Amino acid sequence: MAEFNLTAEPFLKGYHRQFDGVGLVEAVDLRIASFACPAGAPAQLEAQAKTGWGIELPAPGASSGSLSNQPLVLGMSPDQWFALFAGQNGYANDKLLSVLGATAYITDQTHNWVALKISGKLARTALERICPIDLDPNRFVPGTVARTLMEHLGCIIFAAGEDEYLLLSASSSANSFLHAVEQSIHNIL
Amino acid sequence: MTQPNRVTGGLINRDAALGFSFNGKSMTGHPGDTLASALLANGQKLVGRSFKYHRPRGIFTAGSEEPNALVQLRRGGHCEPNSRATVVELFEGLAAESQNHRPSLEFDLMAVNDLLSPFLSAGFYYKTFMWPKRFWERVYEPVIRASAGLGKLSMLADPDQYDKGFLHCDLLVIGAGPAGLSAALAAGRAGVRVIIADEDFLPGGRLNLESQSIDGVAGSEWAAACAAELDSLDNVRCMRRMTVFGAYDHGIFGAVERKTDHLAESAGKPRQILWRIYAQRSLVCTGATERAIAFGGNDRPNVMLAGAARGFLNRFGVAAGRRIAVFTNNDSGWRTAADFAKAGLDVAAIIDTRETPRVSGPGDVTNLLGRRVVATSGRKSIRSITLSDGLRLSVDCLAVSGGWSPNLQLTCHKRNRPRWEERVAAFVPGSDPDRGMRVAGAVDGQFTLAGCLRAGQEAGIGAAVEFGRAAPALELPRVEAEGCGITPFWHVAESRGRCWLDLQNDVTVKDVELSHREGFKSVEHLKRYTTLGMATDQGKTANVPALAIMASLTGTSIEKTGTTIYRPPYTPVSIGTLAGRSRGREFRPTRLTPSHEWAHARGAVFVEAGNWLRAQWFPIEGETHWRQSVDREVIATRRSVGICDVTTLGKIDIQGRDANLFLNRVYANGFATLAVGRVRYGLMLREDGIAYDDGTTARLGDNHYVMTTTTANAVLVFRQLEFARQCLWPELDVHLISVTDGWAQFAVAGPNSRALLSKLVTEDISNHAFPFMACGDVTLCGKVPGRLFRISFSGELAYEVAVPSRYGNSMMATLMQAGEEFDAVPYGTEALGVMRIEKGHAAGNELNGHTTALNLGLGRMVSQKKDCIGNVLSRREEMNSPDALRLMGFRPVDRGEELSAGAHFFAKGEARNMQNDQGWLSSAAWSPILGHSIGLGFIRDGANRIGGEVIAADPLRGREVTAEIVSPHFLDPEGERLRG
Repeated sequence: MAEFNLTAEPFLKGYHRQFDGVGLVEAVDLRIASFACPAGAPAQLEAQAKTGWGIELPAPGASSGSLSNQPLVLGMSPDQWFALFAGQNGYANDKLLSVLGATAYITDQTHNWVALKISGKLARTALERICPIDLDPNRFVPGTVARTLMEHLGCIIFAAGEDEYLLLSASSSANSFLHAVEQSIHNIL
Repeated sequence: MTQPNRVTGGLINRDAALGFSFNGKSMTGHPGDTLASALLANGQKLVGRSFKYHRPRGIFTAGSEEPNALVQLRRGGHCEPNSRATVVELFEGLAAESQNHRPSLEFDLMAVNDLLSPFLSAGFYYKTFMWPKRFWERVYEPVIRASAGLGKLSMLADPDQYDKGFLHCDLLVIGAGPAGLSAALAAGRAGVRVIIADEDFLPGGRLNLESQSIDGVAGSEWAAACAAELDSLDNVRCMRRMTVFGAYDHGIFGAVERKTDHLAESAGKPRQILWRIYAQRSLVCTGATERAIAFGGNDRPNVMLAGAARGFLNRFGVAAGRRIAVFTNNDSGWRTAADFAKAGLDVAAIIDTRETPRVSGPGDVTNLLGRRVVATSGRKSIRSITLSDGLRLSVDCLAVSGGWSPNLQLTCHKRNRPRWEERVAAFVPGSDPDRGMRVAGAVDGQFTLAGCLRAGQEAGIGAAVEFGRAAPALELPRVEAEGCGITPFWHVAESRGRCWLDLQNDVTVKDVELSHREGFKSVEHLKRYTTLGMATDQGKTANVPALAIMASLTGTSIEKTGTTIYRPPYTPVSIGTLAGRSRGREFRPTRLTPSHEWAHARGAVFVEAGNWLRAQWFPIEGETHWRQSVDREVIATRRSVGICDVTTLGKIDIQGRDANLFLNRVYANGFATLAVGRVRYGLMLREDGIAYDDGTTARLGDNHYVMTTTTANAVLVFRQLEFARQCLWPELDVHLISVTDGWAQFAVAGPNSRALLSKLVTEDISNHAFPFMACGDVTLCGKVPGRLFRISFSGELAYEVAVPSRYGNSMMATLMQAGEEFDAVPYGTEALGVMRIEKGHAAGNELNGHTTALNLGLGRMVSQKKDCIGNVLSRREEMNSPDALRLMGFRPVDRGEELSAGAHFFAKGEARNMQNDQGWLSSAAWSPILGHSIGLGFIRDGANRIGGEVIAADPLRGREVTAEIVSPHFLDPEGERLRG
């Protein structure tokens, strides 16, 4: 078996490009897993998250933790969260399992999503062309997350900073998604 | 050519000249001009021909309501017909052509229609073209089609780019006239997040067209200062060249921003942007449109609206005529005379239908009160007018004002009905245009500048207060007093000639009278019968006078007669804008399989499967026909091993204490006994008992399953399961999440599939350790976690192996590398299809939304021991009749013949009609293993007719084949191969 080797390839080959006022980068080092709360047992899960990570589980649309202080937890629905880890080592579901154990239903999502980071003073202007969400920094404040559609593609948008957003979209249509974002940038410059 | 009608003043940049052409004739204008103002400046009064009678027409308005001055703008694929010259911003190199004439604008042979007008009255086409019947499509339709429409499409692909976008605000102010600017300033200064949009490239609305002053400065200067302040506010977005064309549900508005229409080249940037605006509150400040008076010959070139005439003078420095007369029934017409006189132009007379108007004109201008214009003369431009007292005046322009109609279209888009306001003789918005929508200014019947400024400011302050902001301390600007009196007057009854109402559709007063005589008295009928108010201008200058005439004919008030209401769009929106980026390759997103790059490098031919691109077959050197490739792939797979990317199948991760119960309810067959480490085929029914989807579900743990669905139904099934989980059985502990994209999955099929996989999988996958329908987590190449399922679509010993999708491309290469010693081949969807037909497996062709489990030969799978979706209705008698359709195999009696999918079955000797139809062939393929054509299809009572013969008739392809009914399992009916 030694003669065979499998290698992982980024969906967009590690795309990164700096436009005038907008940076666009494929985030290749994200590990993602979803976890859901068993019916009737939120207290156990909340306690486990508090103990293991020191965070409160966020409401839908909000987030807790951060990538630097592993993990960043995004509230996706009343009983479902996404946990994001930075770094290429280990598997996200293993990382979750070690903390949450049987208090949650865990599914690795790392390979479901392509991740793009868009940043810069014109990032919002570019996103205005494809994102139906109101990204006014006073409303979609850093730390906010939303599910939406961009150019017919399902997407999760997370405000990572005042002018910085993390976009997650289905990995099979990664090229179409990148094209949509690139085109938006091109159209506003 | 010089600009003979250019006079002093205006808001144009005279330091720069712009060259343009009209019908190939070179002309010049200035930045700040519209095409209409530049044409007038150059003395071009005749600009188009009317729709029906091809009468010569000139520029009638100065805004987006223009009915006459429609041109073909730009050339080649960039050409846009029906462009309104009054809103086209002039640019260097602009090329425009007039429309609707043969051969030329000046000499139009089609003007013969004008002579035939007695035969072409309103609704003539409802009474003609009736016979002979054979002329309907051969003669009448081609002739009518050739005559229809004004402009002509280039028939070339539009090379321009378009985009769309989303905007959000607290307050959307629609219109940047005096009311809109005042409102935006008040709300903006208070900190409200405001978007103010205006269709013009210069904010100000009528302030730019009038000579009135505000706070001691010209109205246009005041508007410019307001716009500058709004531009400086971070919380305000002042959007020029943007038309809000529709009001929709939940505070959503549609708008078109013309980004590069004013430039010669778009330079690869979007020409127009379709915006969806989400507004918590909206303020409609869309102003009003002047309307005409109907009198004989009122359609001649250079008969124009009085407000337009003074607008061209004040904004563009263009004198529409050197000797002008004004015909009015209201005070605003007098301003035209005053402005022309002030500019040193000759005003022949002010003709007012009122005996005693409370307004005064320039001292040296003749006032003819209580009189009417009854006729005009001139062919390609007006030369004279004749009044009701017989007086004849020589003029080269007649400015007409019949009053003003509020631009209330947006307030009607949610079915709010306008109400008649006698004070201004106009329809104004109804009391409740929409939740969150307000109106201010002329649109609300405030026809004085002071009234507009006050209403706008109050509305802006009101919005600020609604959003919890402190009302800014503002003073009302000072303006001169003005009159806005009107005595309604619609039609000069003593006119002998045709009195035009709708210039774009050639609708006259006589047409309205005919409509009334024939019983089409309702405003909706009037519109359809006469075409009043249709096409690009939607009758903005014509509707109210026509309704008034109908009211007088019926002897009722205008209020009781009512008005038609409006739908979006307010002004025309090009189809390209609505399409946005969704054209060509970008019509929809493309999904790629994880091994796409590998397949592409191998020269695979791809096929679209929904949004997916799938490898259809992999041609190799020497193969010249797809069948050669597919036959080779099938034979190689059945002989040794083949590999196919099946990632496109939907995958749903299902977890929860009640997951087992949940699956047992959504599948028709039993899942309660599925053991950990095992896979089961499952069939889903719709509520009505029809087969919905099929696939396999693997049990990975006590509370953990992964379901596969068909590629086509992946999203639908997920949605259905979420509906069941959230709405049907919320008490169950079940959680779903899609993992379709997360796992790259490959079918490895053929007698050597186990041997191949054994080289890559760490775990024991012998038949004993990993039997048919086993599943489990495995390790690949010693390090990568994967999943293995022993399932088979091909009928061979087969597996599906899954790895995290970033490893997919590498996995395909590795499988091929490991398979070299077995002569492994990649195979595509065609070979996949051939093998599943040989095996008798149903796919999308069979699960077509019309077939039942019984039809599919899966009737016994529908468990009667449990409740599940579709169970009850699947028991309906008709769905279980003894002679129900059954999925069977078919092969041509003459093995040299070829079956074709879609053929219908008939008994020999029976007519090929619906009554005798016995079923249809749903799938067909050439079997390289059997050496002849085979097919799957549905036929009545099929299970009892094995060995029988039927005619497979394919009238679309003109083919008939005698086919034998056989078992659907052409190959290995006992399943020995897949269990081996």
